[in-house]
Amino acid sequence: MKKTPLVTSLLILTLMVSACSGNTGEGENPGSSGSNGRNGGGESPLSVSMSLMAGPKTPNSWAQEALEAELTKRLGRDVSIEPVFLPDWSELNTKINLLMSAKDTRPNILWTGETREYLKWVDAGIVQDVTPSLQQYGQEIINYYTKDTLFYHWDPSGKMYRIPADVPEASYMTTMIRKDWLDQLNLDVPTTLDEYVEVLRAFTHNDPDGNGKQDTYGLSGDNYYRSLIPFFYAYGVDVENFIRQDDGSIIFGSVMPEVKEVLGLLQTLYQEGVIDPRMATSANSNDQMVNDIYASGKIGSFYRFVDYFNPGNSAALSFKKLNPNGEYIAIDPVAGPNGFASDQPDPGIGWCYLVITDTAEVDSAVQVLNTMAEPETFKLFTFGREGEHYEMKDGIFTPTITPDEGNKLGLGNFGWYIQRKDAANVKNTPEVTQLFESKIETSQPMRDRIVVFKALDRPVWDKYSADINKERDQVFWSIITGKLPVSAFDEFVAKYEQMGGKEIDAEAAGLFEKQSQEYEAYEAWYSEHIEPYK
Amino acid sequence: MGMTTGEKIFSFANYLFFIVLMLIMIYPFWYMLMGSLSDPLFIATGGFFLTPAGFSLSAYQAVLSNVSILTGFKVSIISTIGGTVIGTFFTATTAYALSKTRLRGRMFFSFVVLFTMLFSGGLVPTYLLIKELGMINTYWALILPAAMGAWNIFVMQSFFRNIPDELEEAAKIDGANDLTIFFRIVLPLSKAVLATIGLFIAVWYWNDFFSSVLYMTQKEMWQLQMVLKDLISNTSNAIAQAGISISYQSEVNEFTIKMASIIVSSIPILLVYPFLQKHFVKGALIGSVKG
Repeated sequence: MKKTPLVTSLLILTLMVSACSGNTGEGENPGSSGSNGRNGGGESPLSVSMSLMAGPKTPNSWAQEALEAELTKRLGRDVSIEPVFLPDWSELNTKINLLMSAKDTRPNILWTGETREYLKWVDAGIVQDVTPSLQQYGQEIINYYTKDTLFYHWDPSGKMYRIPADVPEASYMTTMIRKDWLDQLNLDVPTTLDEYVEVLRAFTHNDPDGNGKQDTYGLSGDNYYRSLIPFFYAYGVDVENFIRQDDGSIIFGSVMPEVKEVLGLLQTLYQEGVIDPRMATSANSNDQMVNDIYASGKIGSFYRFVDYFNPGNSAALSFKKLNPNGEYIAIDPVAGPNGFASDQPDPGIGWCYLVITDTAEVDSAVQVLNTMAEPETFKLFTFGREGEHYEMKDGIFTPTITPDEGNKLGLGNFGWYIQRKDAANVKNTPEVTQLFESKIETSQPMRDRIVVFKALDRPVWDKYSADINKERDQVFWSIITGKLPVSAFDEFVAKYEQMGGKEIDAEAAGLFEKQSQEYEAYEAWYSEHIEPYK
Repeated sequence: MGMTTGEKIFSFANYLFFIVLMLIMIYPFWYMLMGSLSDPLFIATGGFFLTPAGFSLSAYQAVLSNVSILTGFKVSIISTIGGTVIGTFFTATTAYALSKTRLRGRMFFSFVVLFTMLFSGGLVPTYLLIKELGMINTYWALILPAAMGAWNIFVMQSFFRNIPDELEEAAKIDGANDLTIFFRIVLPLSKAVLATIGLFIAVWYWNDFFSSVLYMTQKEMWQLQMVLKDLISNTSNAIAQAGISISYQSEVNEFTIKMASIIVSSIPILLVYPFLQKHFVKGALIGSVKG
C-alpha cells in the first residue's frame, strides 16, 4: 500500500503539468506594448503596433525599416513599428476577436474588415474617436477620401471611430472585347446591347480565331452577376441591390420587371452556345479559374477587372504568352433599349478599415497613418525605391527586382493601410489610370440609382436574405441555362414576398429614410469638422 | 496441386480489384506531384494529367524561397518533436496510473479525464488562460494545450490493463518500485502502443495550424501549415480584392503553388510512417480484442 501515494502523486503532477506548466513568460505580444507617444508628437520614441493582413507578411522586412526611417524623419521622433501579422482569411475574425479581447493584446492600430464586432467595440469604449486628430494631423487622409466615403464611417453621435483602409476605385470593372476578333470579322465596336449581342454571336459562330473549329464563346466570366452586367445594367437593374425608382421609392433589384427580359435574352444566348456554360457552375466563382479561361484565348468578351490592362497583371501575362496576337480592349458600357448605359460603380465604402484602440495615443497613431497615406511614403513601402527596386519607363512601372525579391523585401506588407488608388499607384500605366478615371463618369448612372445602406445592423435583411438570395440564384441560373422557363421569374417574385420580402422592403424603406436624414446631419458635421481642416 | 480455374479467376479478380483500389488512392497524390511540377502557363489549359504539363520548378522555388517556410519548418519540427515526446510520456504515465485499480480516487481522475473529452473551456477563456500563463508567442503554447488527449489516454489505459499483474508482482518481489516497474518493464513491453499513440500525436502536431492562429502574433512563430495556408489564401485573395495583385506574385500560378505546398508539407510526416509501420499495424488493433 505504500506505493499508492507515489502513483497518485505522479498522476496529480502529470495533470498539473499538462494543465498549466511551461510558463516561460517570454515573448510578450508586441501589440500589447501600447503606443507611448505624446500629444502631437515630440521627442519621446514612438512604438506602434499594427495588425497587418496584406502582402507576403515578411517579418523584419526592408519595407518596415524604410517606413520606420521615413516616419522618424517626418515626425521628428524615433518611430518603431511592431507588426502583428494576421492569419489567413478563414481564421481572420477569430484572431481579431481574440486580440481585441484583452487590453494587453490589442494592437494600437487594428486593420479589420469585421463589422459585427465593431459596434460592440464602440459600446465597450475600446476604440477611439479620431475626429480631433484628423483635423490636426490627418490632412492627407481627409483630402484623399471623398465626403460620401467618410459618411459610411461616421457615427451619428458626431464621432468617427474608424478610418477606411482600402476603398476600390469608383469603378474597377469594364466590358472588354477581343479587338483582333472584331478586325478579323470586320465588326465595329458595339455601342448598344443589340450590337453587343450580335458581336457575341459572331464570335461564337463565325470562327473568329480561324482554326476551323467551333471552339469559341462570345461571353465568359465568373459565376457572379457582375459578369452579366452588360445585360442587366443596360436595363438599369442590379439584382443584388436596392434600386431607386423614378417616384422616389426603392425596390429590390431582383424583383424588378426588367430582370425578366434580361433573363429571357440570356437564356436565348445560352441555348445558342454564345455564353460559356462554365459560367453557370459555382466552380467559376474562383478567380483563378476565370483567369485560366481568360488566358486560354477562346472567349470574345468579359466584364472584368480594369487591372487586366496593366502589363504586369498575371492573367494578362498568361493570355499574351498563349495568344501573342490576341488583344482585348476596354469599351464603354453598351446602351439598352432606353439608351441607358452604365458601368458597375463601387459602393465607395471600402471593404476594410482601421480603428485606433484604447491602447494607443490617437494623435500619434493618426500622424503615422497620415504619413503612410502620403503618395511618396505609400510608393516607398508599396513598390520600393525608384531606381533601386523599380524604374518608370515612359510612365510604365517596371520592376527591377523579381517577385520573390519583392516578397523578401516585404513590399506589400503594409498594403490595405490607406491604399491609394490614384496616380500614386504607379503600377497602373497612364492608360489604366485614365481608364479608371473615365469609369467614374461611365459608372455614374447606376451610382445614382443603387442604394448603399450605411446601417451595419439590418436584422430583417440578415434574417431572410440568405434564403431569398439562394432561391434567386437557383431560379435565375436555371432560367439562363434553360432548366426553367422564363415565367419562373414571376413565381420567384411571388415567392419573394412569402419569404419575407415585404418585411425586407419595409426595413429597407425605413433605413433609406433614416439614412437620408442622417446624411443631412452628416453634411452639417462635415462642413464644420472636416471641410475647414482640409 | 495447382490452383483450380475458379481460384485463378478469383485470384486474378482479387489482384485486379486491389490494383485498381491502389491506383484510385495513389492518383490524387500523383496528380498533386505532377501539378506541382507543371509549367504554370500550361496549367491554364486544365484537365487531368499523368505527366507534368510542361516542366517547371517555379512553384517549388516560390514555396521554398519564402523565408517564412523555413521558419515554419523549424517551428513545426520543434513543436512536433516536443509535443510528441511530452504528449506520449504524460499520456503513458496517466494511462498507467489509471489502469491500476489500487489507485485511490481512480474513478474521480478518470472522470476528470473523460470530462475534457466532452466539454472544453471555450476559445476565449482558453486563450486568456494561455495569455495569463505567459505562453503567447512561445513553443509551450503550441505544445502543452494539446499534449494530452482523453482518447489517447483511454487507448493506452486499455493496453496497460492487458499486461499481466504477475509481471509486476514478480518485479516487486525482486525489489522494484513503481517507477522501476513502469520504466523498465511496462514501457519496453508497450512499444506498439507508444508508437501508435506517438504517431497519432505527431501527425496531429504536424497538421496543426490553429494553435498559431490562436497564440502567435509573431510570424516567426507560425507553424508550417499556418504559413502554407496563409500563402495560398493570400495569393487568391489579393487577386480577388478588386482584381489587384498587391503581393507581386504576378507570374506564380495559385494551383501549382497549392500542389507544391501540399507536397512540401506532406513529405516529412510521410517519411516517418515506414519506420513505425511495424508497430503501427500491431498498435492499431489495440483494444479491439480483449485477451
